[in-house]
Amino acid sequence: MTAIDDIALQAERARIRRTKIDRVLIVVCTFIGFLAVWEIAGRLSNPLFFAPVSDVVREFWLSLLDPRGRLLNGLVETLSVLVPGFVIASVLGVALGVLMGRSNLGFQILDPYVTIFYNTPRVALIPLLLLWIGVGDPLKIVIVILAAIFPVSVNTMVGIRDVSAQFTEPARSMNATESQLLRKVILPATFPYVVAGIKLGLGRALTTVIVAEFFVSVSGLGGILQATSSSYQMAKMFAPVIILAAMGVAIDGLLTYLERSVLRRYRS
Amino acid sequence: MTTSLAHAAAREAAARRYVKRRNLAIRTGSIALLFLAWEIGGMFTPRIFLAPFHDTVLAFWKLTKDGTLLTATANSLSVLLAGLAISVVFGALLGLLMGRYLRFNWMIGPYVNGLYATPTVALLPVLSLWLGLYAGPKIAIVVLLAIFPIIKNTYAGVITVGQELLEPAVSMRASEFQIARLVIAPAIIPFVMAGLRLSVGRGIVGLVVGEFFTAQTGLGGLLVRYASSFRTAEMFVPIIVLVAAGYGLTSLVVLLQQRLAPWKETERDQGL
Repeated sequence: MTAIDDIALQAERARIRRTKIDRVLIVVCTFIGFLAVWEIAGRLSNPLFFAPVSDVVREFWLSLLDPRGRLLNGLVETLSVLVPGFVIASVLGVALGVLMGRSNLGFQILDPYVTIFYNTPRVALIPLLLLWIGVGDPLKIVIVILAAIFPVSVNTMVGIRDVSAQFTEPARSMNATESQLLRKVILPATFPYVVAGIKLGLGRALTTVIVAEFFVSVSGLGGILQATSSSYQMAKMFAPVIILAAMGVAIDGLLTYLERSVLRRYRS
Repeated sequence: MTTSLAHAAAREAAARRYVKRRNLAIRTGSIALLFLAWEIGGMFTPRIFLAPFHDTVLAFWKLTKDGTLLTATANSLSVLLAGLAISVVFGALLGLLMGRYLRFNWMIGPYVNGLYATPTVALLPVLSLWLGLYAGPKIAIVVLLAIFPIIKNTYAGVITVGQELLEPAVSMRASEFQIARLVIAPAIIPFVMAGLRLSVGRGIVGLVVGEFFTAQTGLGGLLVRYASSFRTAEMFVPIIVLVAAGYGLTSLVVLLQQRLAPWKETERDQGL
């Protein structure tokens, strides 16, 4: 009996292993094919419009070694508005969400604004804010806040309402005060919703900060993109694109991991 | 007994009506406060920073009457709708293939996920070099922002089409095409629509960015033109139209979702 089970188990394991190998092979082959097409297309086309991948990699490497560090400075400049803006947006967004989720008056007052701003394409506000705030870092920080705050607050509000409906009565029956209820029960249980909101908000913030840098076009990764593309330096132009893609994927992966581990903790 | 029950029900209904009316009053008051602040703020700040609210209303009327606004809106909407249509067709197709064929998913999946997480507006300069300055790059950037939620949602829809739907079809020797058309397509419509709902907002961002940085046409073009000439009263007009368009299109998709798939409320907002 056990011997048969063992054989079946081994066969199953071998099958899974083969599928895994298949998968890795396919992913690697597709990637190599992608790079090959890029390389050939780059060599065949006018260097003003496209660059082969080997040139892009070389330029990327050179700009990392560059003693003036334009690329790294650009990255630091972008991060230096993205991070503080995003922290402020998260804190304010959660506070707004709690207010709207727990108080009917708060909800009725704030909901019209949240609906309007949630539907406003945030990049459309850049020209207006440019007039009001000027071209410096404060502009970008404000724009990051505006881009990220509404997904965070809407998700927090939805979470608080869902969670409140489940947990308010049991906690009340054990004589919990409002602050105990909020701190010990509702906020921890809302955390998965907040993380989902932060994920969405960070994506929006990244897009919006790039557009703002296109406008101001002297600093950050967006500025480098604008400068290199308007002078037709194709190989150089792809370096910030690669960094931005890597940033997006890293943020997304990190938050998805956080989301999953939080959810797993609540399930068990 | 019955009268007291009727009384209680009537009292309940009255109380509910009261709460409803009070909530509406609070919301109206809250929004009215914004416009009041805008009006008063506009009176006391230099016009190059903020014009009072009634000036924007007048500007809205004037731009509607001379046709500027209509032309710009038509221009923007045609780009947006073209981009969204392309996104729905190709997004649903890619999602379908990814869900049905594991190997295809392995090939394409990493790029779809990667580009979904990338701020694709970064590709606008190169798109503009390749496709020129007019509708081409704008439609392309709308597609690059709008297609990924549709792909991901369709994919999620296809892989959740249960075996209980597929097995009978297979046992009756349905061809792959018949399965796709008769079993999977109806089952994934709600998912495609849920993806489209997310795509509308992203598409509008792409549209505006495209109109800012390639040839300045449409509502985004109007916005930049008025902003750079400090005509703040006019500047709010395209912003208002864009907000209304976003809200209207999203509501339309929700309505369509209910009409096309009334049997199912499931929606999976991947990466909400």
